[in-house]
Amino acid sequence: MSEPDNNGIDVSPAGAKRTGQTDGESERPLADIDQMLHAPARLLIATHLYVVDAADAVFLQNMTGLTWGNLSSHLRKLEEAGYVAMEKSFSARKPKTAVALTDKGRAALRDYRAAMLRRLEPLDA
Amino acid sequence: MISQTADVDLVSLEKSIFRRTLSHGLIDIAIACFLAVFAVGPYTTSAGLGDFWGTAVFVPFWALAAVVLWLIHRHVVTPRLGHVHFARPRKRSLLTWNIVAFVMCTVTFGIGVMSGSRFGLLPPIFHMVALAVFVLAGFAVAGYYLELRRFYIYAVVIASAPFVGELLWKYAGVPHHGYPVTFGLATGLCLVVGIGLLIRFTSRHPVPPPNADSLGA
Repeated sequence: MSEPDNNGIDVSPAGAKRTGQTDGESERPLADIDQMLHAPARLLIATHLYVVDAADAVFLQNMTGLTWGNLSSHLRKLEEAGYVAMEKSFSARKPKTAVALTDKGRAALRDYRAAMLRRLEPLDA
Repeated sequence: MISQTADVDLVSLEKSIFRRTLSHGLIDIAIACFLAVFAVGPYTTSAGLGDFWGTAVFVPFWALAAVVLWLIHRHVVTPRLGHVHFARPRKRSLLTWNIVAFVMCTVTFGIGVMSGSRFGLLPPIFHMVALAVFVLAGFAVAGYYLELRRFYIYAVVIASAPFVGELLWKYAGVPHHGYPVTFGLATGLCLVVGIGLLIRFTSRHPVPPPNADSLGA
């Protein structure tokens, strides 16, 4: 069963079979696309973190415009995937969360870009 | 709309993020505080304090302004905006800006000392041209490195202030070479822009809810 984050597109092998694609690569039409980064909110977070060294959650919330709940949920997923590292601390008795993209996360974003370019390149022709 | 950032490529995104960290207007207010001296200074100088003390009396004002702006940044801007550590290219760019600004300030100071010691020997236009050139160059460089395009406008307004002031003095009889008027307008421009940006910043960035930054920790 496909995840809700895939915007309704079934990227599973079963989904591919349902659409009649059974040979080789087309068995999983978006198999080379990192689904962790394919969600708009997570891609937004990842791109913002890609261009800076680190930021706290308040800054990320300001820049992305995500709600606190959304930001928290997507950051947790990215952390579970090993794409971001979160360091919680206290400053003046207030909790602070420093977030940074890990090397794995940076590599994943570069791979995601390459995969998307591969997918969309024929559009330029 | 998910993102408040319309830019799609990473270079534009980084620039946009950097610009937004400076969108609070405090820099403009700081410039206004500095320029105010040129607008009010002629009155303190002519009130019997002389050139040195007429300017020196503003040092406590600058110190007070610096403290107030620092407190606003700490207690109003930072809690709303959050913290960010920029990547190496941006840090390198800011370091370059610091070095360029230091060299320019040193050269300007040197020219100021030189022209002050030869005040009667050099034609008055020399001081005005020297000031205008360094104001134009300084603000242009700052505008370029800090991605603040309004600095180009400040550069023109501030650099032209002595010349316009001189014309006002010559043809309209405005006292003190027109400095109170021209630099007063330049001060007002920076102050209005700065306060406007600060108000817009605080309205666009409300204080986050308590413990929001803990992300549910």
